[in-house]
Amino acid sequence: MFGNPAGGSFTTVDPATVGDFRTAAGLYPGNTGEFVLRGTLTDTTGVTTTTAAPGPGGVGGTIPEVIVPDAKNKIDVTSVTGVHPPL
Amino acid sequence: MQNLEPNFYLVSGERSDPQSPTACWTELRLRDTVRDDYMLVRIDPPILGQKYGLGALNIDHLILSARLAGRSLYPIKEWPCHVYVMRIVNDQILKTLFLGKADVQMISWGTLHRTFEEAAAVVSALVEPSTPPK
Repeated sequence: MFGNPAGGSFTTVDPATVGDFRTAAGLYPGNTGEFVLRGTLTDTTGVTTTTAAPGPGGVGGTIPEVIVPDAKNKIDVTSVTGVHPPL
Repeated sequence: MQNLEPNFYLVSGERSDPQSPTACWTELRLRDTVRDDYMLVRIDPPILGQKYGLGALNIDHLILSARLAGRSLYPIKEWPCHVYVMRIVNDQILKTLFLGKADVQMISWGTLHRTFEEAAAVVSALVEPSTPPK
């Protein structure tokens, strides 16, 4: 799992394997994409698996998305790594 | 208008920039070439425009769209509802009700909540200290 426990949105895809992850994930400019958190889902209660919808103009929104309520208690964080260059 | 109860509350922003719940009143429905469920909302409190190069001009309207495939804002069937949050770049879309990619700027992701209390609980969770990696 890759994402941000505070936000509750994760993906099963390693961003490093996607050519233009920023566009594919529909990231916005305020998300600097400088760090990637990797973790293991330890409790699937309430978890929803879907895909992101396209952003404005039909751009992006092509990667799997996992919504984890109360993620801080359900994701066992294994690493937080810097990304160079940022996503 | 503002005396009416908000339709819902928006929570957006990152841990580094947590935002208070924002009251939203729905106003217009817009479309683009792909989808027809963009929602114009009036917001309170407004967003400071300075961060977006708007000087003293604040942002008091946003465009929202469902962020997860298969979901729509017309109607909202699941709460919280995950949304893309966009500011308006080209005011003409308020007349044409049609937007192109360059007419808006995505400024955040967010979630919509039925009540202020539900939204405030999410904001509180955002600002709690996180557990460091093991």
